[in-house]
Amino acid sequence: MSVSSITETRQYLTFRLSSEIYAIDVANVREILEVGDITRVPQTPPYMRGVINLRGSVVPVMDLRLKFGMTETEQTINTCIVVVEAQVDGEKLVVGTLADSVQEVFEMEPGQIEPAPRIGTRLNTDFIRGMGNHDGQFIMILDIDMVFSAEDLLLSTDAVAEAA
Amino acid sequence: MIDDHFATFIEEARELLAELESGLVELEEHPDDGELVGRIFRALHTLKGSAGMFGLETLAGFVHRFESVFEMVRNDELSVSRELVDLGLKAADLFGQLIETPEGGVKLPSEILDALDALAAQKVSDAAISYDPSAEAYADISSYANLLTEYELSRVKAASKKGRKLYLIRLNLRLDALSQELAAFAKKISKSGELISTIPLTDPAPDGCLGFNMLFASSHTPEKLGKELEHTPLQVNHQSLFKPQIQAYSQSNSKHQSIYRIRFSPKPESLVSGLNPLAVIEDLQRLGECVIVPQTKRIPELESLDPKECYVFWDIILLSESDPDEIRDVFIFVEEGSEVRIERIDDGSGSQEDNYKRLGEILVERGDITSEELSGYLDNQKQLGRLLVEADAVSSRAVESALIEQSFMKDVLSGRQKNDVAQSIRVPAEKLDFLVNLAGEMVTLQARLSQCSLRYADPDLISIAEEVERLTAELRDTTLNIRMLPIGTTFSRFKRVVRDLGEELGKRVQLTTSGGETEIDKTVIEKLNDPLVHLIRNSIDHGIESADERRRANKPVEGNIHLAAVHEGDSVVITISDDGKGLDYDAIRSKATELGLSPVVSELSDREVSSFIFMPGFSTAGKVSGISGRGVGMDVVKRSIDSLRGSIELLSQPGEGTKVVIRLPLTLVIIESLLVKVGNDRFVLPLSLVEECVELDKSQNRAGHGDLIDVRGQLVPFIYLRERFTIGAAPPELQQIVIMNHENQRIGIAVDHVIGQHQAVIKPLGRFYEGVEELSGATILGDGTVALIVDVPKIVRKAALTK
Repeated sequence: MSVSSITETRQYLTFRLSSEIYAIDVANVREILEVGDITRVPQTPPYMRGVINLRGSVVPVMDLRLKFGMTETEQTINTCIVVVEAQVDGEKLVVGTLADSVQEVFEMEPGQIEPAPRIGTRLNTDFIRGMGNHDGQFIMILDIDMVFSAEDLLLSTDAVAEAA
Repeated sequence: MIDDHFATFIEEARELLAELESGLVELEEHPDDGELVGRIFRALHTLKGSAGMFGLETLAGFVHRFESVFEMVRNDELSVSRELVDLGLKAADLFGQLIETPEGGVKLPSEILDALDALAAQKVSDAAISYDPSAEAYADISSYANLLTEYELSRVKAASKKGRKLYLIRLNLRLDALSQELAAFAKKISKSGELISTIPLTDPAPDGCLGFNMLFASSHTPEKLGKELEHTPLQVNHQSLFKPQIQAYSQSNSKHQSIYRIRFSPKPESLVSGLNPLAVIEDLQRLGECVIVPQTKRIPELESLDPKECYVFWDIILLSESDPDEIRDVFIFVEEGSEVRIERIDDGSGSQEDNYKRLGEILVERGDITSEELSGYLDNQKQLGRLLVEADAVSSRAVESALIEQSFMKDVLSGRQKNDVAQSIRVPAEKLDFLVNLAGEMVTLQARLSQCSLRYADPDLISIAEEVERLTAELRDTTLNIRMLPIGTTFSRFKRVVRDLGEELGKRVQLTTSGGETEIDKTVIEKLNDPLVHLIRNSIDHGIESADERRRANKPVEGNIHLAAVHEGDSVVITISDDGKGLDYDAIRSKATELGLSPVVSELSDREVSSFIFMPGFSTAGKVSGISGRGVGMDVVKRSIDSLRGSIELLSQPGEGTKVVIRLPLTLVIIESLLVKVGNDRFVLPLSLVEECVELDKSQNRAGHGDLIDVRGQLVPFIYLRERFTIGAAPPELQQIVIMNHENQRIGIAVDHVIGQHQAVIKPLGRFYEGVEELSGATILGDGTVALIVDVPKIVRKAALTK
């Protein structure tokens, strides 16, 4: 999905990873949790932080900072888990993502959003749906389905194989 | 709404088809089983009816043609042949296609329709020989003509037009049970034909009886009709209106079930003289349905208790066909001085009124209390049972036993009245899954409550928590039980597989089954289907020899595959055994050496060698057939069994056959497990595989070669969970090793602490962690955190490979 697919005014949740601001379509956000006990699952890449108990379901938690090539998320009073819902291969996945802090929810019109630059981001551009501008600050709008895409899952299995 | 109904129809039709198929395959084995023919006929009839209701005209029409052929079988106008069964199975396949694609597009092959017509054509010629309507018979019936109504006469005419024979059956019925007996008889003969009229007779009948002539139309021969009526519990004289006369016969009254009240009180010393009261009770249970209440009021205080004496006595309510003498025979070895009291409290004549005796009456009859004492209590308004116990007049067990008798009697009496009312309802599987999930959540929540209550140490809270624990356990068991299905439903499907495959390979194979009533979780059954089909295919293709070979080996020409299921503790064991040629261990050994699977192939036992068969790509078959031999399959079987948390093993006796033993857990939702800790992480090991826990001293670490520990003289290899899961924290001085036994291989898993037993509700880890093979899921602990479930079989296999 690229910027051309954004044709209507939508609400976005913004959150901070390190010094950068990211946004997710609120339709994908399920809830926001405090960071509690995360059970680490062995033999997985470091950006897979482990699993938590979300009212009886076991939900994986991903450290987006590590995933996006930054340093590991350090836990502060503002750190939280944004639980998102993604569609991967027609399957609904519920995943927690660590965020340094959650900012706000606001509307953006399609006109406010530009395509992601091909160069100049350290991120895989597939992950970015577009760049928004809010109060003079650039916001990267994540394509959450792509972040958890099937290709990526295979990668994590390979990483395991190497680690083992 | 219509769609809803249609979905139900499809579902029902599938079940009917399955029944049809299994019935047909069985029919080939027992061609004379009238019951079976009836079952097939009913399945066809229901299918036709519902298909017609939903406007599936093609299907309904086709089923109808088939049904008419089967009606001929039912009426003995057509005998069951292999062609008929073949045709039936083909037709059933077509029904299936028609059901799955109701819009149409399925063309009915003309050869099947032609074959059906050809079969139907046989009828005419058969009937022509066996039936010759004679004027004389009609004259006979005319003497009754004035007794028959116009409608009855028209039915007589219609019946003879259809080629049915008319019978007059003479029946003597007891006056005191006239209507019941008449109804029972009418029900009994309704299967064989059509009852046109019942004419009371004035000529003499035995005392207390009234004679009847039943005018009955049936296409059965007199012999067959005579046979069918043979088991009727009534005095029947029947005669045909046609020449062949049926012999009159009489039979003693049927065995009525009686209810007995038995008190069995062995004398205290009888244990010393070798009496086993439990064996006596088991014998009783063989006689019929039993309710047994042990009475413990004679057990003394602990200090004065002599373990050699028998203090317990039993009250038993028995529902049985046996007469009192037969029951007395059970107690033949019980010595004098013991009390054995046998009373018949109901002789099954059915004349009992709805309400059984009151509690007081029962107690008096049993001699637990005298009637004078009783009447003293009865003046009071309270519930008698409670009153008597409070007053210490009777022990609570005695009252309980009397109450059990009362309710048992009520059940039996009411059961006699409404035996046939359907007792089941149809519920969509998702609703059940949802219920099971909820029960799982309850178990998790209850664990938290228990932990919490212990922390607050409040007696009230603790007692509530304990109550909740008991209830939750009950809820969980009941819920899981709802999902249990008898495995026999899949067994019958395999009969078809065996039949088709045997035909294809030109081998004669018979499938026998046992333990079809064994219950197992629905999901497990569904996932078991493919592996079992594969194993059966293997048995037929590789195991069972050709007819010539079998003759040379002095075996029956027809090969046998036996499929059995049995409960063993908290698992179900399924075995597939064939009487074929068995495994060729030499071939497996040489293939294993060729593939370099193990450097010490020649030293391995047959049992260990046979496990190579489950390796991917392993096949000793010289040629690849359409059915098997590619070396894909057994590894898939193994993997699916693993995913069900089960184990699989091959046992073989060269020349005599192969046996595959599959061991499966009863359910996939909850496992009993052992909670262990490594560093700060907690893991869960399936308790069913745990043998024991031993300590590992630091000094023992790494002594000698590799990781082995001496468990009472036996060296057991072990793995450090810490290393396998790369857990950073330093190990404690004293570690624990959990000794596990998987497929007869013992292996230790070293952990920091063993915390204790835990009832783990299994939660999937989800897609992200599919790659982590050594974990099979997660579970939520009492404190709300997540622990991971270790997949022990995988770990063992991986450890074996890296060695």
